[in-house]
Amino acid sequence: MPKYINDIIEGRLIEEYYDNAGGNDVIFVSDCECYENISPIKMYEEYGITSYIRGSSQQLIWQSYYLLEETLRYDTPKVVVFNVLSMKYNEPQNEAYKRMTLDGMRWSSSKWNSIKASMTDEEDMITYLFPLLRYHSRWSELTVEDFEYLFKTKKSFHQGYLMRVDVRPVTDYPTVVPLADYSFGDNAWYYLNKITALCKEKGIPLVLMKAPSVSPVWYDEWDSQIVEYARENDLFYINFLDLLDEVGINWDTDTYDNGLHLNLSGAEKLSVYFGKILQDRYGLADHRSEPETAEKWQGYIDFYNEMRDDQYRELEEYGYLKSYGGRKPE
Amino acid sequence: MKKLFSIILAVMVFALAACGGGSESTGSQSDGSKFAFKTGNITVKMNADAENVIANLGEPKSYFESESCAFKGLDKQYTYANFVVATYPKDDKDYISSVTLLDDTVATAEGIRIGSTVQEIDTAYGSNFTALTGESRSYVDGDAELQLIVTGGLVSSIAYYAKTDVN
Repeated sequence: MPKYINDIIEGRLIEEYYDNAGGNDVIFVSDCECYENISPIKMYEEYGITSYIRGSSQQLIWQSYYLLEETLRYDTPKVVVFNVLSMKYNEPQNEAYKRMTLDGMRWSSSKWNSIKASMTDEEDMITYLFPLLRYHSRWSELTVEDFEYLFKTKKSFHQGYLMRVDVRPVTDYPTVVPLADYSFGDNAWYYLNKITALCKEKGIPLVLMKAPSVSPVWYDEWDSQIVEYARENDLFYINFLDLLDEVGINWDTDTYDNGLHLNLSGAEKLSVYFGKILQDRYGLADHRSEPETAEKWQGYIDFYNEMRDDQYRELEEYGYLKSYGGRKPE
Repeated sequence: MKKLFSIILAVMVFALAACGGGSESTGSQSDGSKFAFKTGNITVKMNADAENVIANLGEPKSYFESESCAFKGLDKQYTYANFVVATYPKDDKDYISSVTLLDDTVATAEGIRIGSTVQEIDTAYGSNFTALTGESRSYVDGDAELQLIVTGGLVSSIAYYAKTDVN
């Protein structure tokens, strides 16, 4: 199976959690709208909030549900945050994306159920049980990297956050094309209800969020449905697209891919703004004065700062983030 | 122990490689569909190689690109005076993913435009469609879908979409 070491590192997001599981007061479950837009390290530095993002590329809502179910076996968070963009998908999508969520999960009933919910008719369960069967044709593409990391992996994330310090400003906005149907699908609603019910059963407040992004388009019609759902279920919903000025997002400096995701500058701004809301609203503890936690998190902060400095060094040296998935300047 | 495991793993990899098959599905090239957008003498087919199409359509009014999450390549959107063409990346090339008509100065090859009636749709495309919300309809042929959004008995939006496993 792909090792996701230097090329598509997002493929290792899910498995990296197990090294840092436990002791997280906030759990985010989401697609890239959390893992590229929120920095748990910054939230800790500012407020002493401990958090982890269980994110993966194009994470579908049933995968979010089963990931949350699994995470609650390792962590007892005070708050769960779910980003709502994935409500637009009602059916299994691209296989490569699905595998980036599923292959990294440890074996459990949650993984089994997530695979079942994610598979299309053409796919075989056995290839998810033994990914080698799916990727055996890749033997001729094996690289030094595959063997170097045969028994180990490379740490790349910061409590589930994918760091990017480069800047590619928003220069244009997508044309908003009308849809035939703005209603979220039954399957999406089914799993949102399950997430809500799971959090209620565990006594954990659930927060719905929509990250700030220029693309993909978040339709007003979609937003209205989430507003109504939050009202009916007594949930807190925060749409950061309505709060760009308050957060301080500047699309000239705070995105690395024309507004699809925030860069480090943008993610830190969002984390400072959102962290205060979470702490004020849910009385989250400041863990910075606890020696054991402080020592552990200091290690995370050191790694975060090292990577930040290394990314700036690469930008200086190559003009782009050569070993962090950056785009070469045209 | 690790050395032994490496040898076993290597044997397994090569044994599996020998059994063949297992090609990865990452999108499809067009086998053709009767649904395609025509403007002047240019035909825009779903899942077609976008390079020549975009070159022939000339300078767009606006252009937007977004990186794919995780994977290499860019989703691109070209907005012209009265329609929008979108593309998806695959194997270092771009392919047409959708065309959306923006006003009534353009029409489908079968003559349906924004403002056409349900009766005119029936005449042009028949009754073999999937009903969407309200009166809206989806017609599928081969690797293309034609969506007609109908509001108050009149077409309010028209879009062609590629049927593909790349999203």
